[in-house]
Amino acid sequence: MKLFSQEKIWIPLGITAAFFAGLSMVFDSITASKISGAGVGVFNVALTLIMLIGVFLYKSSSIERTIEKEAIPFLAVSALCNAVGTVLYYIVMDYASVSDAAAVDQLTLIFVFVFAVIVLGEKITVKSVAGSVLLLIGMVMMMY
Amino acid sequence: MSMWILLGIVSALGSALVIIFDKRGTRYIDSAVLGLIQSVSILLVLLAVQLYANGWAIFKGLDWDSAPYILAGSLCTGISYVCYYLIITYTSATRASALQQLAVVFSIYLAMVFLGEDASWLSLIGSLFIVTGMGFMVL
Repeated sequence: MKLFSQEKIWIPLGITAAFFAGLSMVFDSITASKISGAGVGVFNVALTLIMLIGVFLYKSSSIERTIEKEAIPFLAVSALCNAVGTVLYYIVMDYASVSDAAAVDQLTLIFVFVFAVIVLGEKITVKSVAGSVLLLIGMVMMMY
Repeated sequence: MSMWILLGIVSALGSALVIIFDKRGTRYIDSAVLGLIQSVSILLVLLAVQLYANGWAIFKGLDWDSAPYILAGSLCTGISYVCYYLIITYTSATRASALQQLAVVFSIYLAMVFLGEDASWLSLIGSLFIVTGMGFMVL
């Protein structure tokens, strides 16, 4: 018996991603005192790149070789935002404690909520609004 | 307002836009390719910042005691990123983002286990709110 169907496979993947992101924050907090936040970031992203190359090679037989023209603007903006967001996160780690940096980073959810409606046309439901409010209350409690 | 708060807000804004554009980008391109392009761009910018701030002394301050933690942190980041690029193809941007919020909850409990940090009752109750809110958004 499968625990998760193909449609729900994102749930265990998401929990795994969050678990390892949490573990990474803990290890980063140990090393950030030794080398700079950007230095920690360089190591993290370099290893991530190696792992993603592994995933790419594993999936390479099924991956489309050409990139559609329509994808290029999204790729460029996304790569730029990712670079800016990540670099600033590691710089923030130089000035604030890890918990403070992580707490401010939680604002991501509010921005995602707004942009998902505007850019992607995702529907707002009572459940998603209630969930967001609970998440925000939880984040504020954790910040204090 | 402290500088780090402003930087943190811009960082959160950048991270949010990444999720939105990644979701849109997966309509045209495989998530593995997306992840590769993103990682290369981040690595280049991080290297530029590191070189500007500290020159070539990337390894300055690094010793054998901290090396295992750097390796472990990098491995965890890698696994987290790989999972993220897989889930973004399967679900909506808001659900993916809601699941990511669990990282802070995990970090509190893992910091208690690995670093011996104390967590206040308010933090523990806050983490319950986050898990409940995430459940509302995901299920």
